[in-house]
Amino acid sequence: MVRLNFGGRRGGVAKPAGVAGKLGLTLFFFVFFAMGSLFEVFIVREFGRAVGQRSWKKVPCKIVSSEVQERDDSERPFAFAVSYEYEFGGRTHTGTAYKRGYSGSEKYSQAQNLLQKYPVGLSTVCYVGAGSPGRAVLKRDSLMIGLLAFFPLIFVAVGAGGIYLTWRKQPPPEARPIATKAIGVRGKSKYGMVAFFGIFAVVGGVMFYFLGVRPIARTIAAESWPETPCQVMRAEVRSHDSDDGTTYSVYILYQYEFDGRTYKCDRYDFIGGSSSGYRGKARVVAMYEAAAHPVCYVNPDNPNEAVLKRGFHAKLLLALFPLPFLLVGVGGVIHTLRGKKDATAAPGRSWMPRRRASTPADLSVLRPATDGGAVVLEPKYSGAVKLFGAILAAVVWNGIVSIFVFQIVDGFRHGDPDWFHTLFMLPFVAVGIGLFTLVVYQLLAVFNPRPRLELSSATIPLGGAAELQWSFTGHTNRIGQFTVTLRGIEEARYRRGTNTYTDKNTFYEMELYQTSSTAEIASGQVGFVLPQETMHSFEAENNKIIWNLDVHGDIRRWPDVKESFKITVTPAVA
Amino acid sequence: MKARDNPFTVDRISALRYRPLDTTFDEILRRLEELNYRAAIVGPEGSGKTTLLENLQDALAQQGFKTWMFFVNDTVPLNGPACRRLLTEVASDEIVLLDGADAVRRSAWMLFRRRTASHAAGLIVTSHRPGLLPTLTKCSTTPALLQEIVNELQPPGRTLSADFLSDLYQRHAGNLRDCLRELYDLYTAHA
Amino acid sequence: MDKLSIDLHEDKTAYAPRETVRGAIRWNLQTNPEHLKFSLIWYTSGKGTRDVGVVQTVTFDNPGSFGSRDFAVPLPDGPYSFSGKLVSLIWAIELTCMPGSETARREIVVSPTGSEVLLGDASMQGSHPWNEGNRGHSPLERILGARR
Repeated sequence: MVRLNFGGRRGGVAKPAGVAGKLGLTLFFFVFFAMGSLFEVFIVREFGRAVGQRSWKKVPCKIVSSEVQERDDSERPFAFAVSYEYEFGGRTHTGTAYKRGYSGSEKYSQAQNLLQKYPVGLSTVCYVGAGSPGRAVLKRDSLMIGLLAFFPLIFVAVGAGGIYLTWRKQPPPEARPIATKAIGVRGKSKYGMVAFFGIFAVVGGVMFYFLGVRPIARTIAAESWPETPCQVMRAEVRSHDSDDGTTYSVYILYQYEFDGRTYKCDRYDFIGGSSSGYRGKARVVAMYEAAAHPVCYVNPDNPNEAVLKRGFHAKLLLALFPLPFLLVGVGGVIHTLRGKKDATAAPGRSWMPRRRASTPADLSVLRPATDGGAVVLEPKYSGAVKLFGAILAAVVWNGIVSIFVFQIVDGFRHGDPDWFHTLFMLPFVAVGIGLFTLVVYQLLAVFNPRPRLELSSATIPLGGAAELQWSFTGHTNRIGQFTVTLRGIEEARYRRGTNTYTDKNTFYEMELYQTSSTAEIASGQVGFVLPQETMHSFEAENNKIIWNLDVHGDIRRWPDVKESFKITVTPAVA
Repeated sequence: MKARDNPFTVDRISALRYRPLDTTFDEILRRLEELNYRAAIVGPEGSGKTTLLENLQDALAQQGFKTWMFFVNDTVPLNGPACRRLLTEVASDEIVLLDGADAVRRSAWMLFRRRTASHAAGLIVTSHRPGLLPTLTKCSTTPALLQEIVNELQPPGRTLSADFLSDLYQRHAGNLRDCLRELYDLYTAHA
Repeated sequence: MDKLSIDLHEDKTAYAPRETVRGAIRWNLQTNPEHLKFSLIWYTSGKGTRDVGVVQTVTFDNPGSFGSRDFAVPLPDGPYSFSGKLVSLIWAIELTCMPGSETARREIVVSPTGSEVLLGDASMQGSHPWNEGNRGHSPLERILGARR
């Protein structure tokens, strides 16, 4: 005879963590606290100085001289040198500082921008230090650094909070029961999750702007820039050392004539930045050094702006890199804010399905119709959400795979093929192509007509009657045949070891309606009676009886309309 | 065939006792005592690790030990915070039984192993790979074992042919759990 | 020898939802138990992990080594007793002695029809393609070697 165990957790005596362990944890969290505090002090100090400059007096001045000087400094070879005159305290002073701490620019274009902004003869304003009339700047420090003050506080909070929790006394175990049979992650607070995903979204958004939107927009704009001959004045591969290693960038300073004036610029492409890989950049530099008639492309609206390499090229695919962060962040924020509102089941009916969709597996939601009593069935995930999910999967997968594919293709291009890695990557590329196909499929499906179903009652008893009304938004004339089917499904989930298996079986299927008439597809209704001698809806942790209304719109040579709506079938009325 | 009448239902399979191949259950208990009740049951999927762990729990309870079993899998994770919470509840005279230790994150596992060494009477885990704790026994399967289990589960008067079971065993690479699930489907479809 | 038993009124085992199950529990044990637990439960059986629903439970403290008690338990309106391919749901009345493992159980059917609801298979339509050429033997019978 099988004896049923209803579970039951054995309690234990609470044991405090050892002192040695606590000291270790304290040291660990103290590192967080100390680093965060140091950064916070630095940022606060800089912010304080920027605020202090706000008290400097604003005084009219005139630019006497301004030029770009080249120096031997390899870090900042180009400096914007300026002098300006201003009246203060009844005396004439000459200032030479552009801003506090300015020591030059890495690129010529950066210094040139300042030259453009402060040409000789310009009447502008400068800011004179209180109590030091000889101390003046053209541009005050930005207050934006104050926004960075929040980030180190996270580390300070983690450190301080960790130390507090380590030494805090634990409440007795009776106050914190844990199930014996299943242990899972506790739900996190809503706002914490919004902040967590928000950081992803902000970081991803900023990166996507600088790596994607801005360079792509400039690339498109540069398509109309006229081709202009130029002379290469300096061409080199610059190295940039950091904790992660050395990266390299192409630096080419060139001169050109436009509308009778001579300009200099050092923009190579619209992405910029540096990366590992010296050889490719050395090849570019060598190419421009040896070029007999190099050309650049000049912005006719602002001839100071030019570029050597325009058009779409592989480096612009870097725009894809921040997309997963942005999509995860935005998706996470939306999902968290939408939340899961579980209406409790009727008292005594804990085995009945919840009124609202409460698990990711549920594909539909019920919400009251405007006329009361009836409910509207809508897909929980719109076509856009499904497309978003497909794009996310495709971008993440293909983003990672493309790194390796680029290296392999690069090898082939330079006569150094790596056949082992090529064959190894084939399955991954195949999956990536499949995901891309899914994106295309979902993209096409976005333009599908969307069904809206209204059921006469939120719950239908066995043997009971109900009426289903439908309507479509979108181009319903594309649907060749429309079918509504009622299905009953039993579902069994088995958990053993480290695996979970779910089996399903359709035990009931009844076609409620089928039509090829465009008018009837666009909107219609059908009444039906549920069978009497079958099983009502049932949901336990592992075993379920699910009733679905499945809608299928067949569209030739296009993804079909396919939606499934869960309905609640109750025991027969006595 | 009704689900409840299928000879290969989950509850019937769960009621099976572990059948050691090259040793006996008593020897396993003896070795467990030698290892001071800190050991790992190792084996591939569907080789009986969970069954052995449950049988050990019953045997230890009969010997007067207090035990506490829980499982971890792909849908029921054990992360650091949950692990720490659990550890505060373990009594010093309890033997902890953890099914699916290799699904626990490394940092949580290190904490778990360290804490149970000083704050519990023992730790017995199941794992697909050795190395987490001293190996208590390695679970393995054979076609003959599958035949023995099927004979026990089937109704009297019915036996599945040895060739069929051998083919079934090969197709599932020795995973008896998957073999028995396929037999469930076979009985459902054709009985 | 320890004995627990559950007698159903008029030996009735099939009930409609919301009906009351009446009967008596009896125990005759060698030692005095600390508790007797009487439960109305349902549980699943099949291809999935067992689910158990405890609808009502009553605990008798220090019941003595022998005795009997009548019970009248109202049933809820569901879930029905049913059997499909993957899942069966079974109702039962259970009497457990604590400490110890002695248990008595009587299965009952809760259904508006008087028998458990049977779920078919919507996909099993038409003849089995493998019946041809086997003189009516199903694949299982062929594997088992059974003869008609």
